[in-house]
Amino acid sequence: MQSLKTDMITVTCKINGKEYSGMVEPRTLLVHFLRDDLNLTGTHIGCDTGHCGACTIFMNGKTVKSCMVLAIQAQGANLMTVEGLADGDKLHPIQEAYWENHGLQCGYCTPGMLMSSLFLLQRNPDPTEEEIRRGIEGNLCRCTGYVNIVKSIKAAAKKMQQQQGSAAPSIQAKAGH
Amino acid sequence: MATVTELVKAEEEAKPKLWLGQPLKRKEDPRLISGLGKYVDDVKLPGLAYASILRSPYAHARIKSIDTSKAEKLTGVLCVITGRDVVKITDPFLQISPAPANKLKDYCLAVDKVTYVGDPVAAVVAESRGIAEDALELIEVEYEPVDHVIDARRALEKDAPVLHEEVGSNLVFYGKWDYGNIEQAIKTADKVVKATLHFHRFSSTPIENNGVVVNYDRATGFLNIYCNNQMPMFCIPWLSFGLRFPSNRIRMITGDIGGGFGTKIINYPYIALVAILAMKTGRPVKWTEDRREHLAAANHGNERTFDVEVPVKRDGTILGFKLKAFDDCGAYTRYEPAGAAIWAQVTPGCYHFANFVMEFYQVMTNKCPVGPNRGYSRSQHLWMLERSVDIVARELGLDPAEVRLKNFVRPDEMPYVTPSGGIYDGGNYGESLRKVMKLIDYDGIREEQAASRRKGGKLIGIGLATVLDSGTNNFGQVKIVNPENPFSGNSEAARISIDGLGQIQVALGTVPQGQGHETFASQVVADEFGVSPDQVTVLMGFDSGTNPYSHQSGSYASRSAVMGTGALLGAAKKVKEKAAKIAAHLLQTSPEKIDFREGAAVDRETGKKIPLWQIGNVAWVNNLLLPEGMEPGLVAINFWRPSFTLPDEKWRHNQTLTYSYQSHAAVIELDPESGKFKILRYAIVDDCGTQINPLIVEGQVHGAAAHGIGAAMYENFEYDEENGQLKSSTFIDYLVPTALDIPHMITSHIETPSLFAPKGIRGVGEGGCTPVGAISNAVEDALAPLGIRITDSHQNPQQIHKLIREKASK
Amino acid sequence: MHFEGTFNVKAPKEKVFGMMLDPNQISQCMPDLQKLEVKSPDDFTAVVKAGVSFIKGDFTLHFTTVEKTPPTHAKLVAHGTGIGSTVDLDTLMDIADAQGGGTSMKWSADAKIGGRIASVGQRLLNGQAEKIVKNLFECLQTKLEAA
Repeated sequence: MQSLKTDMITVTCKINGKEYSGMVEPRTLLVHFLRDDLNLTGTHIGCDTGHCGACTIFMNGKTVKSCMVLAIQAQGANLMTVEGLADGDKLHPIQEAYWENHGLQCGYCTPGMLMSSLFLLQRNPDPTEEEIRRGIEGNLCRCTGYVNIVKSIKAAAKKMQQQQGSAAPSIQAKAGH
Repeated sequence: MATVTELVKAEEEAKPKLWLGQPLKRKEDPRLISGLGKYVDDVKLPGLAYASILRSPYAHARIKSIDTSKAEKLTGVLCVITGRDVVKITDPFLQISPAPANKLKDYCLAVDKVTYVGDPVAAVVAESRGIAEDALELIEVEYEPVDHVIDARRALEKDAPVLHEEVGSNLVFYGKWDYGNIEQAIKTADKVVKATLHFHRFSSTPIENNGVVVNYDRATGFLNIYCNNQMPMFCIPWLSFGLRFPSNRIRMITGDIGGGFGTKIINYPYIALVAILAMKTGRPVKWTEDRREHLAAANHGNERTFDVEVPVKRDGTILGFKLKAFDDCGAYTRYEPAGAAIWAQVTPGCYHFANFVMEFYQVMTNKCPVGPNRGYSRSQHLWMLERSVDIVARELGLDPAEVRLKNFVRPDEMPYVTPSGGIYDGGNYGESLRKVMKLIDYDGIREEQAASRRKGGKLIGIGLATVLDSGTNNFGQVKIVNPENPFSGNSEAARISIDGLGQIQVALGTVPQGQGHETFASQVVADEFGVSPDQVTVLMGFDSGTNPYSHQSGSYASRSAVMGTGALLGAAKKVKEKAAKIAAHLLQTSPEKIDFREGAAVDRETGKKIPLWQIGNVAWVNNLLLPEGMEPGLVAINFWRPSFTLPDEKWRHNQTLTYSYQSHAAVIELDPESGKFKILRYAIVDDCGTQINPLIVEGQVHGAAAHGIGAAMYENFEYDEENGQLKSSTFIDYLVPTALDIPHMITSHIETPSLFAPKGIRGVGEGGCTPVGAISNAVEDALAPLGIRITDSHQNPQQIHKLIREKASK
Repeated sequence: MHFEGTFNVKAPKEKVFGMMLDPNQISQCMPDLQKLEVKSPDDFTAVVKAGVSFIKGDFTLHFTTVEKTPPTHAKLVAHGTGIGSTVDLDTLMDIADAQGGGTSMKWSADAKIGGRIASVGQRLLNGQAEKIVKNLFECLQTKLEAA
């Protein structure tokens, strides 16, 4: 009898260097489009008010909370999710740093945290502890108390400075620069 | 000729290097950092349908009618059910409480009335989550609001609104613990220090909310349940009896879990609800809780008020504690009243007194049901002790550190038997306190504080707390609240196999939510078989179809390292015995001469070896080479349990196997103009005995401290007095601390092995909420010149500012 | 939440009483009225658009007069649902002769909000509810003075 479904809209965008396309309702959130339609379940949902940051991804070069973006806003955009960090089997220095420094426990906040960490280091390659904490202020973690996350980001900064020029370009491209 | 130094070095190097104690990188991490974690919301099944839940907007109301007709007609809706439907096909959930509280009728949907804001009233299944939520708006419920009660003491009064008429009152449990002679202690005391203290309501709010996917397979008759419950097999009696579904056809599966902290233990009503929906629609059904639902209706920590009397001597000796506690357990008892007895695990805390009386009331109110939350029931009790000890110090004009050191149980008294029969398994509380004081430069800060006070600047405060984290519990404690409960002891299961190609596989009953079980299990098993942890495969997550388990299996109560290790060692022993026999048979020697190292069974005397792959081959594939009469196969399941006893008639018994402890020190700077304060310095010394993986241990210590700091300074579930509404039901108002809110924490360790647990390990996951004590003590210390008493576990600027104003106006 | 106020108008008590309990007058003073259904002067339903911050939507409010002592006293009770929330409003009106002529109208309102709006809009609730209630009575006062 009564239907509340409206016309579906096609969204085409580039994610992690690959082209994706799908049909969504106007009200579909980007994070749901990624997780449910495109099977990119690495990006997570932890709240409904844009606070936790578990849904953080790169959109056209900047981090966004994908739960605060409509899927249709991603039309033609260049996205990067956690699935795009590694280069095939080779982990990104940020991923290595988190692994080596026990920067994760349950792993649920980790994808979003990695994205925010990367964005921070792209803008500020040698941050102080205060700057690191400010850079991840939008990502909540309940397991680690942030101590080892800060440690991981510091270690990642060192790694990335050493590897400057090699891993960076493909990430830059994937992240939409 | 070799020197002594060289000989010693050679001997050291010849010793097999143990994986136990190594800070290995975790095996779980590669998938988690790549976005390949498998959390329950990632589960996708063909034909998946989605559920949503309509919840009560009232704290207390009768349900007069529900009209679901409009919702049912919405395109895409598969079914709508209410409490009236549920009551016909399920039985009320089992209750742990004694009579008359056990008469409480708890179903997965409210039937005649709603008793808290968020109480589930109806459920919808639809083709998409969006449609399912649209349908909720079309369900018409007629409520008749009635008076509500949100204070535990008030809920006990004769004229208070009663939540569940079938129970008759709001009292769940009353118990009196009475040890020694407190009245005598009070008579002989130089002073009796009194206080009324309140431990507030908060929860650990993991970033992943509850979720469940149920697939009722009509072909096999199996109910396949994908969930993120921390003790899924513990739920089986609740689910099986409740759903009237045979337990041998229920399969519980958990994958990666995004944090539990105790809050994912009582989510079984949601599992039952989704199971009903799956069976009704014939489709697999997924329900993903959203954050607002979680904060209002998943799990709150126990809220407890204490009337405290402490008889003391002028020199600071504490003679005992006389207590009355009112525990607010919310609208339904799901794991309660276990919490009404669990605090007794640590009856005297780290202190030496023998006289103790506790009158404990557990009461229902129109608030979210309470369930285990990191430091379950002990945090409340231990905070009360730490706050009281500081108050004692203040009233006697003594240094709080000195009072602690004077009253601590001493290392030479270990194993120490407490008034309630607890047996502390070793530790040096005094050393941990002295160490943490050194870490923050206690003497130096006291000088700074004195100077600052003279100048009249910002108020500096120092707070100390030494708190136990009792781990690996004895479910005998639920016999205290109801002697008829058929539940006691504690056990865990592990399976180890060496397959036909010599590959080692391990499966555990513990259900990890980030504690690194795959990693620590690999370390333990690697040591047993002389291989590297990379050569040990540990099954991820938990699946009752493939993992061994007991109905106490799971990760809770800081037990996994101890229980898991116990089970693993037992399984390893069985496998090694058989493998040694096979190897000895092949080498024509005796099994006693066999060691396992470098991936082989080695004859200690001749050095001859048989690689594991060959042993596996003989056991599984090539079994004519087996010793005479030996059964093929090379796999063993082991159930391990600590030796616990039942409580005696005075409820005395050892309730947990291990007692980790931590000393915390907080230095704060408080601005009296605004009531705001910040942490200048924070230090932690922990002792969890032998550490399997120091990285993992340290991570747990940090995480536990962050939860405590969050609770002390930012997190508080506030209910509106006037209409029982939960005011903090989103992250807008329920403030989870960010990286800017948690200070850098200086950590250090002491390692005194447990006298009772395998390999001297102690459970460390919970932490006891130590910062709540350290910070409330620091705040009172900062405000000491103003003579302000802190009686609440939650410190926020508005409250502090109010206290300062009130004091000033007097 | 409790709000109250008093105002004086140069109109006889009966007129004031009549207007305060007239469904058409009351509904015209409600925010963004969408629909009005009058069963009787003592029983009517209004659909209004209201909300707090970004949580706005249609509310169906059912009004009933539970106490009526013309021309001095009345109690009007409203119960509403919408956008996952509930509103319960009890309003009391006491009308008397004012000193110096005219009529004095004393009103009080007790509002209970539950559900989504209460949990998400917590901080803004008091201010917003007060605004709506005060606007309602000011509007009625204006109508009385104009008549």
